[in-house]
Amino acid sequence: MADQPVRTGAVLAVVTLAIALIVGYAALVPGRPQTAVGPNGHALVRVVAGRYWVGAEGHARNPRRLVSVEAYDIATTETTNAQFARFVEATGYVTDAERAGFGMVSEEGMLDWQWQQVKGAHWRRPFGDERLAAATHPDHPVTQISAADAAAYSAWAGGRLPTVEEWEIAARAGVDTRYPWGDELMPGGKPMANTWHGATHYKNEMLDKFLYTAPVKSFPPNRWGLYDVIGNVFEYCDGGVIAANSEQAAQLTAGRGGSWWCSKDTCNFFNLADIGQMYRHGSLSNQGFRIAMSPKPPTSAAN
Amino acid sequence: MRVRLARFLGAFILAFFNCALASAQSPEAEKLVRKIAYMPEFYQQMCSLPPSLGSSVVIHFSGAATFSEFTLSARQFARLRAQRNEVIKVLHVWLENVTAEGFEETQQEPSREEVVEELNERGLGYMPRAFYGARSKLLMLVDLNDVSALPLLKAYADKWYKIHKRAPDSQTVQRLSDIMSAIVAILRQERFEPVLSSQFEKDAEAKMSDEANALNETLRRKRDANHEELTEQDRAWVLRDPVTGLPVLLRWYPKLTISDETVVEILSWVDQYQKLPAKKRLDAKGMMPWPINR
Repeated sequence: MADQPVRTGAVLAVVTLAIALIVGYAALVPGRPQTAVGPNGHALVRVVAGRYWVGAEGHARNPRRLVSVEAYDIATTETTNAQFARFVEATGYVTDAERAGFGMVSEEGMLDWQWQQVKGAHWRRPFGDERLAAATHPDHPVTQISAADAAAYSAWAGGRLPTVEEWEIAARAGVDTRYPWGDELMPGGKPMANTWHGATHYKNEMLDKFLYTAPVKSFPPNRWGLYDVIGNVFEYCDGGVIAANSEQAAQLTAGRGGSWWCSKDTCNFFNLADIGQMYRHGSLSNQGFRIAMSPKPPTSAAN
Repeated sequence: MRVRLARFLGAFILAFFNCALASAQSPEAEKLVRKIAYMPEFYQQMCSLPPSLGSSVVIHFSGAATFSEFTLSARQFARLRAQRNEVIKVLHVWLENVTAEGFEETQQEPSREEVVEELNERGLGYMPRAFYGARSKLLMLVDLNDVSALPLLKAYADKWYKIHKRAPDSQTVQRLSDIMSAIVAILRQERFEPVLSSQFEKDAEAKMSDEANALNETLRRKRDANHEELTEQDRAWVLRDPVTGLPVLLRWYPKLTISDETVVEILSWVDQYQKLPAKKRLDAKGMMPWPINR
């Protein structure tokens, strides 16, 4: 009988410790955030302020570390042709590729890493012809837009591009694996994202059913409801650029998540750790973006 | 006093030598070299930029270690080859100048405005000045397989090696890597034995072989489907290695990080090469079979 209080105390201590661990873990790995409808039809999820793990062990450019962020909203899908068309219609915006008169295109049958200037390739006609034209593929991610174009769209929508850390936090949704669904690219042989399937770019075996871009939401979302964070299009982000000086840094932008073009033998950036970078005004047929927004501060009752 | 006099005389002789060489230059060739060096026309932006070189010297077997969105096109190489002797004279004057003590290389470069104006004409006005003339000129020497430039290239490398040892930074790594890559590329085109029997040559060939397996398969399938050789656009992306004969993609030509000791060793090969009888040198005969991008 004399042991009873001791035993009860021990049980209480264990329970308290377990609760503390669960609460602590939950603070670092929040559950699925709520989705809200934002401007121009963007579905947004709220990422709460806090400290989150990003990066990967031993990754030279993106080592595993804890980062602190303020609360932000991020789109569940990549910005679509339809959404970008409404922006252009409302503002008369002319993209970098339209001004330059060409976009960079890679297509099946070309050599690995080969990209070529195609006259008349821009967001309405990403391959310079009718293939995947924006008008007939409204639910595909917009491509052949530069990071500068993406930033202009985001500002118009009242948002901005996510930082590389914000992108990764939302894309990870609390996991520390290579992909949002685990460490295996195709668990059980099932494609989980739109990437290039083939030994080279001569032929895309299309195990994922798509040759180039896929309509957004064609693959399962991550734990927080974000679609296509891996593959489909490289997503422009703010920050995270490595440059020799500030002048060069201003010309560059970071990209995350890989794209339909990326194969395991080329680029291979379709994961949660690698960070690509490209010219801020360059336009290619595999690059797009999703928007982020900083929540508006609550309006004071006095106002 | 004697030292100062000797320095003065040295500078005078160098200036005289340069003037003599400069007067021997064809103005047309000089204009051509300048135009092509600063305005390479083959634009090859990809969806991601390659990583920077790091802090050690790198040998890139294509002949230039640094990547640039702009490089010389096959058409431009062909124009240079058509005036090989005149172009070589222009390039030698450039090398004499840049290796002279106290010479500021940027003196010879066009203004930023001049470059931006050209890029604007191409619809690429947003591009930074991603290339510099030295890279283009080194590639010209490699493409022309100008063996007579080797002592000048060694002097150029010596100059940058000293700067690099004193205060290494991204610029010294970049410049020294480009110069060393050009030297190695010419010596490889010459099939110079010390290079071919080196460890880094063996390492490079192993990498090249891996690359070629995948590429050969693509090339075979393209030929099967089209019954034709590579298209002109394809050719801009494929190099055929002069030693192994293997096809290698422009961007993924093997590159190897080397130690300072290897830098010194490679420079010693240039001295050895100078002892080679003229009849054993390939020179113009060592140029790659057709003008190709590098």
